[in-house]
Amino acid sequence: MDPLTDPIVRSEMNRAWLDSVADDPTSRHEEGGYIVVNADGKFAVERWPRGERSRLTPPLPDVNNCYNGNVVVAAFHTHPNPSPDEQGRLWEQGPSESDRRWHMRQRLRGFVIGRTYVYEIDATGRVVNLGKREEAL
Amino acid sequence: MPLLLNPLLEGLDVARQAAADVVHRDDEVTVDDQGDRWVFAFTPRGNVLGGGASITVAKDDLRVLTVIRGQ
Repeated sequence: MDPLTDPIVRSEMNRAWLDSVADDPTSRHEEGGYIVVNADGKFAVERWPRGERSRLTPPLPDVNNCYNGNVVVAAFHTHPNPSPDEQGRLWEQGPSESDRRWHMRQRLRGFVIGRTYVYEIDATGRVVNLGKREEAL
Repeated sequence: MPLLLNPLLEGLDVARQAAADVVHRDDEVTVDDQGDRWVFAFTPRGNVLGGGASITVAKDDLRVLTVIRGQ
């Protein structure tokens, strides 16, 4: 089953986007988390500590690919910076090279929530645009 | 008269300064030679999502043509 069809996962991803305060030039920052399967076999989300303006350092799963005791099946994070931003700086909207590398290294599927679109990165680093954020989530 | 001994390193230095807010000293750096310009790509190493930048610098006068920050 695709985690993006799960209402709890979608709700948590939307919440992460709101927590990124993308419309606030001084406070916008990255948020993210793991999509896990809990002991009941249901999807759940384990959020990561708050990131910085344009990067974050995810806590890693354990050797059994578990995080807080739940099996990690995917990850997601936000890209809150507009392009151009209020200072005229351009920001890549889709997954960055370090995003692709991280997912390849972890062999983990993931989602990037951008201002306009949601992107999927598969475990080989391939990127697919899943469509507009309001529709994909 | 100063001599420019290594234009590529000068270009790299210009690129670093152009995105000093997102480029870190230990980022991996690659350069794509595109004839009249270089495209420097800075990619963070290790357990990091986002960061880095792609910076285009003109070879003739070391002008910064574009800076695209990663996130």
